[in-house]
Amino acid sequence: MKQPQNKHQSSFTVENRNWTRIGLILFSLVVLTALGADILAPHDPWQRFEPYQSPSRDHLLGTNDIGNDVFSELIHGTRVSLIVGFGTALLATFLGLIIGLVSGYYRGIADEMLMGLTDIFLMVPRIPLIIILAAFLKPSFWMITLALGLLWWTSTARVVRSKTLQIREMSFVQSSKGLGFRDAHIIFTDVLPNIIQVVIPKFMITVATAMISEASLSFLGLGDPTLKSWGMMINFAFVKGGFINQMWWWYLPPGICIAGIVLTTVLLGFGYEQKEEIGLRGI
Amino acid sequence: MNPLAVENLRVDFQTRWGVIQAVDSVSFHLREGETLALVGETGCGKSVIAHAILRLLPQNARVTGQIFYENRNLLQLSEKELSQIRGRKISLVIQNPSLSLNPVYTVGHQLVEPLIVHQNEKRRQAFQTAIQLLARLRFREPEREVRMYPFQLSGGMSQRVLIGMSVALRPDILIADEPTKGLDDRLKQDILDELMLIKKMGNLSLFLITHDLNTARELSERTAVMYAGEIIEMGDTRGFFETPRHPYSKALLESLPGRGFQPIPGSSPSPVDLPVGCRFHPRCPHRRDVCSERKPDLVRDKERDVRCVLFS
Repeated sequence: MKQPQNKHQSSFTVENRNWTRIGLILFSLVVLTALGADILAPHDPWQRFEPYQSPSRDHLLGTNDIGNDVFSELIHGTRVSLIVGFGTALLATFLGLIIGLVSGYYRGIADEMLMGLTDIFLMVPRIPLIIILAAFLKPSFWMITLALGLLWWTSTARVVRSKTLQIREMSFVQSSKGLGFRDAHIIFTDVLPNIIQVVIPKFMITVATAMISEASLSFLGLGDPTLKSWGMMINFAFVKGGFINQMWWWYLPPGICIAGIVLTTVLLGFGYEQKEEIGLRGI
Repeated sequence: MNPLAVENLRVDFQTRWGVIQAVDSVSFHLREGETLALVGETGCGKSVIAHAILRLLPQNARVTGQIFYENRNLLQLSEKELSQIRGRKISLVIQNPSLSLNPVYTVGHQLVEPLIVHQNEKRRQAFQTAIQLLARLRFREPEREVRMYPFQLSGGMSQRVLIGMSVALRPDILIADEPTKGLDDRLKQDILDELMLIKKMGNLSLFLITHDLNTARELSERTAVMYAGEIIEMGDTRGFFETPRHPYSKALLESLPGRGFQPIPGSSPSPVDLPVGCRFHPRCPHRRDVCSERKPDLVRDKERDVRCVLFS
């Protein structure tokens, strides 16, 4: 009975490790592209050539309505996606961690109030709110990152809180209290290291959702018009007739890039999630 | 002077099923350098006393009475003042040794933590101290063992590491809550030897909580017996084991395998619904009418405190 079950488990982990590896390789490629965009891109993305060219040797993915090289735009767009994604996730995870740890560890009034706040933030429809914000404020890339970060911490906070509730009752936390450590010390050395495996996949998923949101907002025309982002590219292709004239080289590549980068981050997070389950069984 | 004196301690827990009276009118003191054993059945409130001393009880606990340490009432200190005492002056070894170490750090890391946090020792120096400590606790290869993770240790080793952590700062008082629970006889003996060794190393007062009468007998100078949240008998260990006075103590000793193996009839009362009068009277072979009417006081008689009408 036991043999086949083990076999299944081991093949599952191996397969899973491969997925993580693929995610890691793709992700390093993405980071390298973003870092070396100036060297990798064949042209300056703002330089103007003859517009509406189809792909050729000089312009691998043709040019757009104002004659910018699509391939160079695409490479530079990686930066925007990564920065928005990670900026948002860093802010959101930081907020979620602090709120979750405080409410889970101290419980009582603090918990009630912070979880009430979380419920309120969970109810706010995020994308419509950002649309309204973008409409009133000057749409800029930092504003989008900030707004997304301030809205996306709720689920992290909840996950962190429930895990903290579990860890705080464990004997080693009680034992640390008995040794007279300060609360902050216990939170950061006893509780945090034991919940970090749930936070990392959550972080990666936040990165992915933030990237999609940035692309959606840009596509709706609420992105930062001074930046080359993938969502903006699709938006321009849509508005300036790329879709109608079937200029696939203009709108298809950014779409594929968005899907690809999101898949990459999710794969990374997925690998970690599995690891976490193994850790739980181990403990 | 007595380093620790508990007076009239009472602990209630507010729960949705009513008020649970876990500990009632408990008074005792711990003399300098002595070992006081607190014995009693599971659930009689022993651990609650241990946690109450360091104020580690959950929020729904209501603690009244006085706990004096160096003439200061621990129940009235601020959280900050109390954290100066926890670990440095009074240390607690809690139950479940294998769960009491943080799974993500090595043993060494956890042993040096109190030294670094409370005594501002340098990490490297603290590691040396930790290795010496493990060596003194008769670990065979302390250099290797400090780099181990808790899952690599056996239950007995974890317990010894925990004891090591608790005494790293040379506290005046060590509270050991069931230090031998769940260990086999040989390991149990190791832990007891360890505790005696530690006592010899410093002038430490040990407050030993156990349900194992033999442990109490072997290690302590004085023994206190608890039943349903109250201390019912307290006195010199040798005298207590020779001539127990309270009917419960007698019955408890007679239930030991070497002393007749006689079970005590009935079962412990529920802490929500305690009997009026003497809490042992429904199970007592010597009960009188007065037992169900009035609670007897803890009366001192010939170097022994007994809570029973037979001795008042």
